[in-house]
Order: sequence, then C-alpha cells, then structure tokens
Amino acid sequence: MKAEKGDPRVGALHSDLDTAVAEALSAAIDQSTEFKRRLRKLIENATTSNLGDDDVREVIELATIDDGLEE
Amino acid sequence: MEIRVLGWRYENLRGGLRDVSIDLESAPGRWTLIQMPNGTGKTTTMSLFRAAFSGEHLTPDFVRDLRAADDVDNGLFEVRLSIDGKPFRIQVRLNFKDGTHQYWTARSEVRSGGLEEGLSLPVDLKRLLTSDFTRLFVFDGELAKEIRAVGKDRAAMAIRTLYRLDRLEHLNVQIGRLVEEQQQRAAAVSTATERKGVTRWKRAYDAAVARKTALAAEQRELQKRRKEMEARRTKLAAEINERIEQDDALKLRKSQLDSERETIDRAIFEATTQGMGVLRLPAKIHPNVVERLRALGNKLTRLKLPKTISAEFFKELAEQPECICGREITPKDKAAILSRADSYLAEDQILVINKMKLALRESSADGAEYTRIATTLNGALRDLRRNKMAHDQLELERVEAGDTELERLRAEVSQLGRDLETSETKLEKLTTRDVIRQRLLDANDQNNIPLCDAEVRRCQEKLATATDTLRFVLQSERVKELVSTVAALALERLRERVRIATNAKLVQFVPSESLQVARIGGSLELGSSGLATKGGVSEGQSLAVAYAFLTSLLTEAPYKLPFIVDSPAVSLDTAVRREVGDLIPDLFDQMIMFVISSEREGFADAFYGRTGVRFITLWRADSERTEVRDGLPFFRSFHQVEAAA
Repeated sequence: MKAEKGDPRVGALHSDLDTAVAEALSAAIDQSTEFKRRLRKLIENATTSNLGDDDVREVIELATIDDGLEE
Repeated sequence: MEIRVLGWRYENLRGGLRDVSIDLESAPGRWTLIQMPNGTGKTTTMSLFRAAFSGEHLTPDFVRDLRAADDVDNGLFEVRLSIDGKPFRIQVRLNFKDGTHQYWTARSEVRSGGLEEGLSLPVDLKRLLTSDFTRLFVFDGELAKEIRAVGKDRAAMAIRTLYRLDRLEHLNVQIGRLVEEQQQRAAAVSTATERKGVTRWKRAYDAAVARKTALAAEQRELQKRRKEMEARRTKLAAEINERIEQDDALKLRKSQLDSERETIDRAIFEATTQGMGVLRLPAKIHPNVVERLRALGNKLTRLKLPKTISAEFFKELAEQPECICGREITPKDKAAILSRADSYLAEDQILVINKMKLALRESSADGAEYTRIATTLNGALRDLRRNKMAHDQLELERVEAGDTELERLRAEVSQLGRDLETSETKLEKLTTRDVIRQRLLDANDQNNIPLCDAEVRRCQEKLATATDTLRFVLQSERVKELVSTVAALALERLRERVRIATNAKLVQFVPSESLQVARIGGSLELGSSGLATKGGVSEGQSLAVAYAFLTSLLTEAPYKLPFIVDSPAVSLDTAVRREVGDLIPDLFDQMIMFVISSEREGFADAFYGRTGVRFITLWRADSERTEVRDGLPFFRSFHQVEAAA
C-alpha cells in the first residue's frame, strides 16, 4: 500500500519532510555522508511502507557515537 | 490511496430503517445530498459509518438502542467501499438481545470473495482509521467544537496521522525493539553470573520506563485539567463581570476601578523592569554591597593579584634549551616547570581578573537606587491589593443585595483558585529540573520526570554494559534522536502549511470578520482580537473554522477520503452558508451530505446547477416503512410532503 509518488497530494508531505531531514542532518556534523544518505532513505521509506529490521539495523550501525561514552 | 463509498444498507434499525438500501454505484456522482428529516436516522447512520471504518467497540446500550422494534433480535449496517478500485463490503452485525456486535468483511483479495469475520481493511488504512481519525471525515458539529477545545489534541493528531508522521514514531519503536532483541541475544550467550546481572538491570530498566510512562500520563492529565480550570476561571470572571454590570452604580465604580487597575499594572511593570535591570548591577543593590565590592578590589590590588606571570610563560620557558640566567634546562627541570606552570593563571584569565579589579575599584553606583525602586514597587503592590479588595467589595455588595448566583460563582472561583494551586504544586514536583526545588519538594525518580529520565538512562547504560551492547544502544539513541528531530521539524512545517491554507479559506468563508488561526497546537488557537470580550466564537464561526481546517488538511493529504457530513450548514447564517456551499464541493473527490429541508436554502441550492450530483430523499412513510426517492425535483419539493405528513 505504498503512496503513489506521482500523486500531487504526496507533494506536501515530501517537500516538508525533505526540508526537515535536510535541516536535522545538516546539524549532525559528527555523522558521515553515507549515514546521512541511508538515514534520509530510511525516513522516506518509513512514511510509505513497513521497514525490514535489517535495513534499520544497518543504518544504526553506521551512526557515529562519541566513543568516550562507552567507557 | 483512494477510498470511495459505493453504497450502504440498513436492516432492522430504529428510525424505520428496517430494509433500506442506498446505492451510489448505479449513478456515480461526486456529490450526494441526502435529505432526511429529523428522527429518520441521520445520527445513527453517522455513528455506524464511523464504526464501519474504524471497527470501534460499540457499547451494549448503544447496540440495544438501535433496535427497530421488539419483534427483531438482529440488525445490520453494511457499507460498500472501493479502495484503490478494489471492492470491499463491511458489515456491522448487531445482536439486540445481548447488546453485542461483530464486524465482517468481504474483499476481492479473498479467493472466495465471501465474508470473513473481523474488519479486514488494508493494513495501511487500518492504521490510519482510528476512531478519532474517522471523525475528521465522517464529520459532525461536535468535532468542530473539539478541534478548538484545549486538551483534546485533535488538530495536531490529525496532521501527524494524515501526513504519516506517526510512522516515524513507529520507526523509533522498531529501533527500540531491535535494541531489546540484540540484548536478549547477548544475554543468552553470557555466563550464569553475567545473566544474573543482565536480568537485574533489565528489570530495573523496565520498571523505570513504566514509571516514566505513568508520570508522563500524569503530567498530561494535570496539564489538561489546569487548562480546563483556567478556561473555566476566565468564563466565571466574565459571568461575574456581567452580573456586576447589571447594576448601574456598581458598573460605574467598576469602570473606575478597572481604569485605576490599568495604571497600577503599568506602574508595576515599569518598577519590575527597572528592578530587574538594577539586579544585574550588584553595586546598585545596597550601599553595603558597593562598600564590600570596593574593599575586594582594594584587597586584590594590595595582594598584587592576579600574578603578572602567566602559565604560558612557564610553558614556553620549559621548551627553551637554557634559562634566562644561562643555566641549562635539563629534562628533569622541564618536567618540574611544566607541572608547576598550572599553579599560575592563563593569560585570558589574568585579563578577566584585571578587568574585574578595575570595575571593583570604580564601583561608584548609587547603592540606594534599588531601595527606591523596591519602595515604588511595594507601593504599587499595595495599591493593587487595595484595588482587588475594592473589586471584591463590589461583588460582596451585590451578593448582600440578594444575588445568590453571584455568591455561587464567587465560591466556585475561590475553589478553582485552590484547585489550581494544588495542581501547580503537583506539576512542579513532577517536572522541575531545579535541584534545590527538587530537594524542597521531596522529589525523586518515583515522582519527578527529569529524575526518572536520568534513572532510565542509568539503568539502560548498566544493562547495555552487562550485555556488552552499549555501542549499539548509543548508536540507536543517536538515530532515534535524529528521527524525532525530523518528525518535530516536519510537523512544524506541515502545521504552518495547513494554518496558512486554513486562513486563506477563512477569508473566503467569512470575509466580513477577521477570523484567523494564529497557531495550530494541540487545538486550533484563534488570533482574532476581541473574541474573548465578545463572549468567544459562535457555533457558526466554529463550524467555518473547522471546515476551513479540515478542507485544508484533507485536500493535500496522501489519502483521498470521502467527506461524509451531517447537517453541514444548519448552524451557519445564510451568507456563510452560501460561501461554504460554493467552496467546499470542489475540495473533495466524494462528498456525502445529510441535510434537512431547512438547509436547502443557501447550501443545497448551490448544488442544483452542478453536474455529477445525486439528490436522494429518505423519509418515513409510516411508523414501519421508510421511503427512498431519487432526483432533484422531489428533493426540492420535499417540504410539501413533509408539511403534508
């Protein structure tokens, strides 16, 4: 039951969501470009379909954390 | 995704709906106007539409109340839908004897095409069509009020669900589940002693999360109650004013007191602003403070503080091959110099202290300034108390003259004041982050959300360490944090988009009034000036706001939903009706409108010239039988039949 991307009604959500993702990720300066790309895709897919656990886990494992916190 | 209603039928329901069928499939139209006189089952139909879409639980009393007559034990409401072109049939089967009900669905995906028990809509749609959400498009006047009611959270909920931002919340739930699974796997391969630790921290973590959820629910409930109490207090104040103003002499005195109050408020504001400014300059607080600051400045000078040699000087010296006296600096000397260099201040610190010294020596402000402002402020506060007492006196005089209603209102205001105070204290204890207040209020992780939050994090870290999954936990937290930020930012943008569209429609609906939505929070907050003093928004205005909001919300959403509405124009005056009648038809792909004959003028007649409109009239021919007639001529002339009946 995916939303049709050609449907103009999906436009409002996508444009606002895109802007929100761009804004949130630009502030995440500690994260890699690959992580940002994958998270963007994950969020986009989350609004249109169910996500597989493996897709989600892979993105989590790409996130950078302050290693000092693990001590 | 597109949902259309193709028709519906009733069996053995009250209002003469014993065997009535409405078929929209045979002559499909974008708009359907169904004229039903009062008492023929409009409200019943709306309730059953909502039930059929959402699968909500119906109470036994509600079910029994739908019974057509004592001679029937079972009833039925069936809706036929098209979902993305595929046919679905939903039945609400009613058992009047025991007050129970069952949902059944027939859909094309099932090979037999037959009925199966339960409401089997596509998963995506089932998630959307909650009981609350369904009320947005199977719409009645009550929702118009609720959209504007504080604490109901309808407006924000609608945007979140309709634009699928709730899916981002589900993504975070999924991440949480993955963490839990990872920890379970890790715990399964650990030793017995480690497993004991894991179990202990898992229990502590679960308990802390449950406590946090309960505290958050308590906070929401208290906030909701506080808003309701505040709204009630405002209403009571308006009612009290109204009663005072019924007496001309009291009205005059009240007006004088109100004007005096404005002057006092201004004086308090000015004195407070000045006082706050002075508080930022310690020398202006009291002569003793000036004196002590100067003494401190002099002491620093006498002690030659700060030292003129900085830590940087020694660090540079340690790097030199020899000292200024020519002696060689050995590695041992170097280590000694570096270790002692930290006893000296850095250059920037010296700079700050020197500036302080200068400021202290030059502290020449008038120490009595604050005292003067405080005296003015105290005077203004005394005036305020006097003014309040005089106001109170007015009310008491009226009560003594026999106004028992005013006496009751005053007692309620007084009780509300006490309840609000209790509520504030509870909320503060629940939410304060101030360590001193937490101590004073005896707050701990059992009754304070920030402390409980800290406990959740502590248990989570302990659990993660015990299961050796700390890295994954921290990564998950980072992703969840980013997803929540995206959801919040997107919601903010969508709210603003819907708000602007709503206001543009309001200008068209009610051009003569400056009715505008200032903010979409949990509810719609209106920004028009003077609404409160005019006694709030009328029912018609409320409906206009709700239409403007819903049409803005639904027309841009990724779902095409039918808009089913009961008495769409009954509380609107004729001018607004005409605007609504002209504007809303184009905003939906399918509209089903239940109207009464008085709504024809100004609203239904806006559809007479359109093509693609079905006009249906449904009325009770006698106590047992309901008639259905198609066509505009009968629809228009129905009042004669009604009058004759």
